[in-house]
Amino acid sequence: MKKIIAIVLCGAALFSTYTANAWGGFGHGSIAYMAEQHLTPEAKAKCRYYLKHTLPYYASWMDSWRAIPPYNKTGAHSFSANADGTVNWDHGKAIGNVNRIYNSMKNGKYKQMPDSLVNINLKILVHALPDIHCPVHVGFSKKDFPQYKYSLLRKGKPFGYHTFWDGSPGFKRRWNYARYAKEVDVISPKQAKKIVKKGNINAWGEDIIRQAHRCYDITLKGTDVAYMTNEQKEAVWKLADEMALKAAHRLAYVLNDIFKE
Amino acid sequence: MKKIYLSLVLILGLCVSANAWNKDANEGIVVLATKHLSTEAASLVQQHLGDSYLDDVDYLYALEKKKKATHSKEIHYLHLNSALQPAAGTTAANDALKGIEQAVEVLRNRAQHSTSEVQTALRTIINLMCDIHDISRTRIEGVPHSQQDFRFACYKGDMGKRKSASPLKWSSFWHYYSGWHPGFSGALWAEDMELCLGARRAELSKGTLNDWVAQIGTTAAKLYEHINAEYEMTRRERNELEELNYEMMARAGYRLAEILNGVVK
Repeated sequence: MKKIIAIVLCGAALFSTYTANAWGGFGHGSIAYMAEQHLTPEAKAKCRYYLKHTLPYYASWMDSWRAIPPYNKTGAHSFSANADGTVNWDHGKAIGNVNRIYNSMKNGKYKQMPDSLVNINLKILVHALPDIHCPVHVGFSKKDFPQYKYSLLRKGKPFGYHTFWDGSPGFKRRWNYARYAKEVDVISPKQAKKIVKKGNINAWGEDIIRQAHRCYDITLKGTDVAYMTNEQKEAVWKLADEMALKAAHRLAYVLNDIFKE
Repeated sequence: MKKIYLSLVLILGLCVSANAWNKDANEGIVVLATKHLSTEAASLVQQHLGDSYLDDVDYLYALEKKKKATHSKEIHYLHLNSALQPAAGTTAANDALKGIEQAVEVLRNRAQHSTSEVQTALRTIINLMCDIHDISRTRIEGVPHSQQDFRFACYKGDMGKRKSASPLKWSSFWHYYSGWHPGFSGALWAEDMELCLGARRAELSKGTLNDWVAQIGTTAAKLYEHINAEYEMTRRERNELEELNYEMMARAGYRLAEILNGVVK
């Protein structure tokens, strides 16, 4: 068993040369909570059987363990974009992990795995798939996109661009996951179907890259996040919520597909 | 993200610094308990507290805040002697165990008490059953660092970038875990605890109030053997202790149900 885990973790390590921060505890938990609402009864039962917890409980598990061996080998939380807006699969990182784990489990293949391996794979999926939807988890190279390399301000002092967007779903909103889902997850089944694009992870990656450019139009250089106008806050929430919703529906799709009978 | 996360944990810590865990986690304990109340016990709670029972998870703290408390702040702590038995010389005004025992007596003899006294007893039990399961609320004679809060070194950063431990209060350490799940409502905590530990409910709630106190005391004493102001906790140990914290929360919920079911038998 240990060997299998080691192989999986080493496999993950191949895609993991860069680590960045995550959506934030609130964002991750909200996405996992919304995803759980869209699981089929079979998938929900299987997730609960293997995890022994709800999905939101493990939403940030990877962040707690990412610095500790052997889980430090799973530290990919972002992926890179090519200048033409396609996914750079040579530096697929987190998106590579998601793709690899999804493929290794679907079509009933999870049944061949020990329960403990399914458990770890689920914990990675429930975190890494939402992570790639965080706009600042798309790596734009300095060479192709030099204009994206700047910090924000908070009360006049430098404040990390990445830090701000990681916390964007909960930015100035004191909601719990259930309230977040009630406010944000209000799309029709037809819209949800459009979001999941038949499980095409490459198409998800390109969509995420397109959306990721938007955050640089919303929080321009010099923006002080402590003094944002209502219009700016609305724009932040709109993008954060759109991405969180996409992450939730896509995570549900992947889990439903893995556990379909 | 780390700054926001740590700020959030700090804010949560400040908001509930007097409380065991945070308010949502305490509510989770109470919701979990209500799932296992007998019809009679549920009816007693409903009759005296109505639907506002969740507001009572910090009843005694609210009294302290309003300066209407007749108890000392020590009521939120278990006081044990070196043999891990209830310490001598404590009262219902300065010890959690005595406070619970007195409230249980009121509920058992509720026909002789006013509605307001019964309400107070219920609220006291709810608040103190949550408190005593917070490991940092156990004071053991002969263990100096259990007598007052202390700071120890803990690796708090999640992202693996922080290379050194930073000071953390022992009491805040146990609140810290509920901050890891910032959007959990009481209902979600209860659902999760039931899912994870529901199968062990009988084992976790087995025994009497004194047995539970002994279990809490033993658990705390074991930790106090190596955790003190000089201790440097690794990130791994910090993560692993979450399981114990979580189990203590579930124990609190299941035992709260047991105690309330017991008084109406």
